[in-house]
Amino acid sequence: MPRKYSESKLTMADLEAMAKKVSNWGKWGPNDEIGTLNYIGPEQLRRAGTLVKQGKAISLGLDFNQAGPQTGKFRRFNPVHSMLATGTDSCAGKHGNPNIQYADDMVTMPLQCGTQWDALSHIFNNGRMYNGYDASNVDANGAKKNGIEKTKAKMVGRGVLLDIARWAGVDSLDDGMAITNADLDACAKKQGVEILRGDFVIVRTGHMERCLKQGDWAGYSGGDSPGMAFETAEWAFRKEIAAVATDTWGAEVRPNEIEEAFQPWHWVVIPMMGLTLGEILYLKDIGDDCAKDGVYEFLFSAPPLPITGAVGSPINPIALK
Amino acid sequence: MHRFDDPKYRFDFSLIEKMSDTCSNWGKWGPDDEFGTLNYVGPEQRKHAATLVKKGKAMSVGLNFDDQGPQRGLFGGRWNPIHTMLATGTDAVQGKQKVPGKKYANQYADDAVSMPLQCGTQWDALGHVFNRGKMWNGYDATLVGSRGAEKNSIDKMKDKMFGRGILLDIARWAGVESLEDGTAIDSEDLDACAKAQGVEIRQGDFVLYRTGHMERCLKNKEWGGYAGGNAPGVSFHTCKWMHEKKIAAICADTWGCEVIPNETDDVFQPWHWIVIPQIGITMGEIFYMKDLADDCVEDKVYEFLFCAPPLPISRGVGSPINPMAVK
Repeated sequence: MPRKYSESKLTMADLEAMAKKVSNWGKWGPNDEIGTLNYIGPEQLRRAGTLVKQGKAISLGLDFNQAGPQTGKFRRFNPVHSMLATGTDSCAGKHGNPNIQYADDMVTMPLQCGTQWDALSHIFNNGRMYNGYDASNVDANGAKKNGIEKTKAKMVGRGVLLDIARWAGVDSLDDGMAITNADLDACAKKQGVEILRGDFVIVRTGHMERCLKQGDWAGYSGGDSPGMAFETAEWAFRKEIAAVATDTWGAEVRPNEIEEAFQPWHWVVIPMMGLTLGEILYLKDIGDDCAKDGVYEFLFSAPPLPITGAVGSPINPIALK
Repeated sequence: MHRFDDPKYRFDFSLIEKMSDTCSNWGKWGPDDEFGTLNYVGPEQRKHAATLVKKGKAMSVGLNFDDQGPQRGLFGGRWNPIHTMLATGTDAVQGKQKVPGKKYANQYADDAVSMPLQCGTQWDALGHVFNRGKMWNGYDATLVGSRGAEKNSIDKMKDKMFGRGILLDIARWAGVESLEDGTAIDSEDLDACAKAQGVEIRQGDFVLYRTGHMERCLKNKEWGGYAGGNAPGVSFHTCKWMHEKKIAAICADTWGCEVIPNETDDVFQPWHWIVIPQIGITMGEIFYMKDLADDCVEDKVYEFLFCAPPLPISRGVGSPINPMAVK
């Protein structure tokens, strides 16, 4: 069962050791920019296709609007959606030339303000990003290496839900509860699902649903949270999975298990392993559906917006069963 | 195919009124429906779509979003995406990212975008176009105000954009790299192309057709009038075909799907007046079809699993997308 973050006594030396242990630098050649998404090949895609048995599609995305989880922390804000043309204008006769009645709109948004992918250029470790590229490749013009657009055709494969909250018998794990390697394995076993190479592993803690139920995001974005224990970096590496995605802001447990570093698991999984991370997923519907039919695997498709040089992308992930 | 100005195909507003009635699906799925032709995609269609994943190859049908995009301000004041950084690697390596209470600095990059939702590869929501003050299913156009669309918004479609996709490679079928601007595609062309490719158009399909327009612009390194100016595209008269085939969606590699100049002087984009508000068809535009088309001509398979989830922006009337074709 998940344990308190404070039960592990980890230091920067553990971070450095894990960074070495799980490094995939060079594994797919010196020019690789997609990391563990390389684990998804034709065989994985074909298998994913066979998982669509009921013809049902479920969204794992939170709607993008002003009621989102951002509070201004880290300079992130909720999407600002504004209209460029409206039906009220049309009916007031304002769209005479050219003669078409229409509505049009725009959005201004941080790319990681809601349900999203982190690109491999999002996090650095000692001035380096995934595959050894210098962090200075990400400047005011965006990411010259490891940009999200490099993954534009890669975000489809087999998805597996690990419903940790349900397995643990709670609506939501408490903040500060760390999910361990043993928890991931035990939950998968209980659910009767095997983790395979190239999987998109989706971990439900219940955190988002707790906030939605309370009608208050509180510290959801950047505050305390349940999440992955630091040791799960090794699990993700060993399992050769393509991605991890969670219903929390930052995937890993907060407070963090290493006091000196902020988000230490990120330091390792993104720049060293090259693991694609998904965050702020809405997992209620998929959680309910999987509990009902006992099937925890599905075709998963979450194409990023290929914004050139971006270090993240808003997404609307789809599970097909 | 014919030229936009061929007198045989010219028409006036009375035909728009007539086709508005002929092709109307209002009420077909009940008075509260906001999905339109996406209702044609059911469990059978989705299950069938998944069986089309045979070689295990995923392709993007989306154009990258950046300042090299097609917008030139020709229509609606749209601009290309403005991508700005909130944090950078250059900041990180120069020690600008201290986190209070942490001994070791966090090192990260973060960014934001400001973009019209229809500036690049995109879905039109059913709340995007009106016909005489009404939108899909008879809802009043005034339901789309400054706070967005109370009906027919894109977030309603969040789990709907998945099914069988088919490509009609009109340009290749016609033996050209790109159709010329002002060339109108007829219903007979759509059928003949499908037949030549050996693919059947079925109820609930996402139909993609390629004119070569975008590739011509990319090759010339000049978008010119791509976004809002002259273009090849479907004839107004195909609106009946769109209605009768019971397809879920229609998508093109052009800015606005239909031929420009239009085949009437009375209104702008007359086909839009019918297909979105009357038929309730979801429309995709500015698709990048080169890779998919090259693949289809190579293996002669023009059907695939298609998945293009919109960003569920609450009350939005469109969404940027990165459509996927999986074969």
